[in-house]
Amino acid sequence: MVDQSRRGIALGATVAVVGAGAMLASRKAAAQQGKSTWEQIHESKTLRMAAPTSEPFCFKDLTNSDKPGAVKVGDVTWRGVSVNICKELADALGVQLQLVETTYGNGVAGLQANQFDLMFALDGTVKRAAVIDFVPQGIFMYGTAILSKAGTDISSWQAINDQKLLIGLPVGTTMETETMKRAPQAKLDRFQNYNEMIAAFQAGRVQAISGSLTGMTLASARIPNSAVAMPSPPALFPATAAIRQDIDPRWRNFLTTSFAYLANSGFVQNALNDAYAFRGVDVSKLQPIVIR
Amino acid sequence: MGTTTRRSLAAGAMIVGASAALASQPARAQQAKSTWEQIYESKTLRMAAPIAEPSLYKDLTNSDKPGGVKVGDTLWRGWAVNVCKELAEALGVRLEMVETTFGNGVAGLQANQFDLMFVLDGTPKRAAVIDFIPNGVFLYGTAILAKSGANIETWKAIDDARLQIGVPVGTTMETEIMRRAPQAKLDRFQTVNEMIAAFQAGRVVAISSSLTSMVLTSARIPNSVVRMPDPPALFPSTAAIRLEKDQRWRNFLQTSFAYLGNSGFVQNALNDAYAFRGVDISKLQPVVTR
Repeated sequence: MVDQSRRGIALGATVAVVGAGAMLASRKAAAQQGKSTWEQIHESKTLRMAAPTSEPFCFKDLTNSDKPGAVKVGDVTWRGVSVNICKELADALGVQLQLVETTYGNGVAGLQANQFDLMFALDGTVKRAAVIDFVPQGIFMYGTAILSKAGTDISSWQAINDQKLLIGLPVGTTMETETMKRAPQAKLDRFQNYNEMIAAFQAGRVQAISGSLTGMTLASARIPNSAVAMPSPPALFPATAAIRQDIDPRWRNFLTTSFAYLANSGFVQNALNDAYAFRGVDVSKLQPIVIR
Repeated sequence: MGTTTRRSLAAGAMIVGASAALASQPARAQQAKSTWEQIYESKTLRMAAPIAEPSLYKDLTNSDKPGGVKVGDTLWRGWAVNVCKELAEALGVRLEMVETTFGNGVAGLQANQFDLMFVLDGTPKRAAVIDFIPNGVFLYGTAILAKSGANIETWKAIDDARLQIGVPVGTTMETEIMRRAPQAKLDRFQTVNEMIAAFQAGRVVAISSSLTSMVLTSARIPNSVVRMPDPPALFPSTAAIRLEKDQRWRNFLQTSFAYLGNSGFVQNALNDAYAFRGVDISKLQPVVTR
């Protein structure tokens, strides 16, 4: 015990000499000493958010515009609902916000390697829950949405099934499974990525496309005469955040309370509206998000 | 165990005088492994196995119908078994079934005989000594079984008809019906089987139990119908675990239950268990997940 704290003091001295660049090293050292995420955030006075680019959750505004929803971190203007939430959390904790650029594929490993303190929009599957943890409270519920030409009846899975609609979807996703289960007579056209799928719809090769409600809403803003709906009955999953597995529950508890408050108070809806409006989506025509 | 005790005694001996007692305390704490640590070290997830359809039961016919889980020489079925199999595979450990009864749930968890027990309601009394996963894999409610044609759509209709209903004594269903249809006439039974026999003999007009149990009963009684009357009283069907400071096991289950409920895994597992008993699943109300 005595030995360890001495090592800690020595490392602290190194940080003072080397300066800001050593921040990451000190966080790693803190983790090795068994510091919990909550202790690390307070000791380093920094909240590190994983920043995989994904609209409307987290993206860079290269125009540095001053439209609502901008969060300046260093020289970069960030936007998106996760960024707005994390800024609110960091302010409440009295610490600075740091964005760690990464990908969803690196989410599990990045948390385990203590590269960041939370990652939004990673689904809490059983397999992931074996190695990392998830905040049990979502910021909103998200579901499978369908985008089609305005006037097509996509209000229910039954209507989609009856029309045997030809739907483009991203291969290997929840949307593919959902559509197969809920509208088994629909004809499916599978795409490797979102952009190919959107191009196929614009070229008239598919009658509709499927994605998450947020993704389809953004796509709709770029496609004239298109409409988006979550067909009823919707299958809803909580959009939440992944965190490290910690024995100290304080970080998890803080996020559980905060997510509930930010969802119920309308903060999340406003942040989402800002991110949509920035891309030209007419927010007055959107279905409000489902909180629970 | 003997070796460990001896080792901690040796460690204590190295420290002089009164502080020896203090030092042996953390050594003992280290021996008290949390459930999460035990599961990984033993590479085994131990599930309490009280027989209760459709959550958990043995398939003595060893059939290859969907939903069977082979553990050792025994073929198990039920949605709780399917959920635990999924958990064990995600953790990379093997599944062990510990046969027991619901009555032994609290004591069995405290005595470290198993790591979780499904379908035990989280009452305040139990929560004082064991822990519960806060979100259910689905919500279950009080259901009524009656002859086809009987109006059991709402508690109001049941109350207005002053229906004579058989209930298992001392259960949530008894309390619920007394509160929601106070004019219904209750006939109390010691066991579910006596209650079902009374309905088949025409001694009661309707009977009550959980939705899952009444659905299975209905499959064996021609011209019967099952409903969760509106507005439904819903309780989370969750799992009991040991009360402990290390929250990793609890957190893992909390995330997993939400995922398995929302993704339809639980509905599919329940459908398999029903179909195995000949229930026409196309006529069932879907489970409520939230």
